[in-house]
Amino acid sequence: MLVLTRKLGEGITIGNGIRVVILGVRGNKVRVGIEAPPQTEIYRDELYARIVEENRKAAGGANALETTARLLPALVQRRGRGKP
Amino acid sequence: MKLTTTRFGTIEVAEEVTLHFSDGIPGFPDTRRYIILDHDKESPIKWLQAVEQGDLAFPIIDPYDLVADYRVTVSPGDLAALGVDQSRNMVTFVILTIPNGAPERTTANLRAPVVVNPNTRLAKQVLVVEDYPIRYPIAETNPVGVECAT
Repeated sequence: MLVLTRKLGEGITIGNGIRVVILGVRGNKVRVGIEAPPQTEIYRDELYARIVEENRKAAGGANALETTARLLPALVQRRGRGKP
Repeated sequence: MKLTTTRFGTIEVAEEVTLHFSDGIPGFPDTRRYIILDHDKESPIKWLQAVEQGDLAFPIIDPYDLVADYRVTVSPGDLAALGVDQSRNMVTFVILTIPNGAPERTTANLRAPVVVNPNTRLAKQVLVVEDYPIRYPIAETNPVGVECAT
């Protein structure tokens, strides 16, 4: 990992069109500003990691079709919510 | 083309119905082509079945079946990646996590819906800014029996 030290207000340019700026430091929290092309995906690490973890669980769960079938009555009734 | 799956046996799939995930699905970056299969005619659950990987499938559902006022904002970058100009031109579904042996504890990932451009068949799982839960219990606060009594 490349390690750089920056002062408040200073930035880092990454490749063509991505810029990271240190906007504030308070205690153990750092505020970071990011400029990037709109198609660049930017996520907080932990949020992305949770999506990955959830997808893995979703793909691994309910291997048996009948497991899902047992779930259906509750779902279908829930679907009917709000209908007369 | 023929597709051999662990859950549905061997099925014939037309190329023109496949969905293309340019970046894969988070956690499964190398699998890009999927098809949607019905669970059965009655069921609101469908399956997002990988084309190249017969043992990879996600149970999915229309989020409006769970949360009637589900509204999400898809980023301009994601819209561009899908080739749509407005989010109302997209089809949205969410992935279910169904614990083995405990389907009543099933949750839906409302924070990261899958959006599809039905015209180009480009698809993507997006992270929305709205603070929806990643693990929304589908049998949550509404005891089914109570609701049905009304």
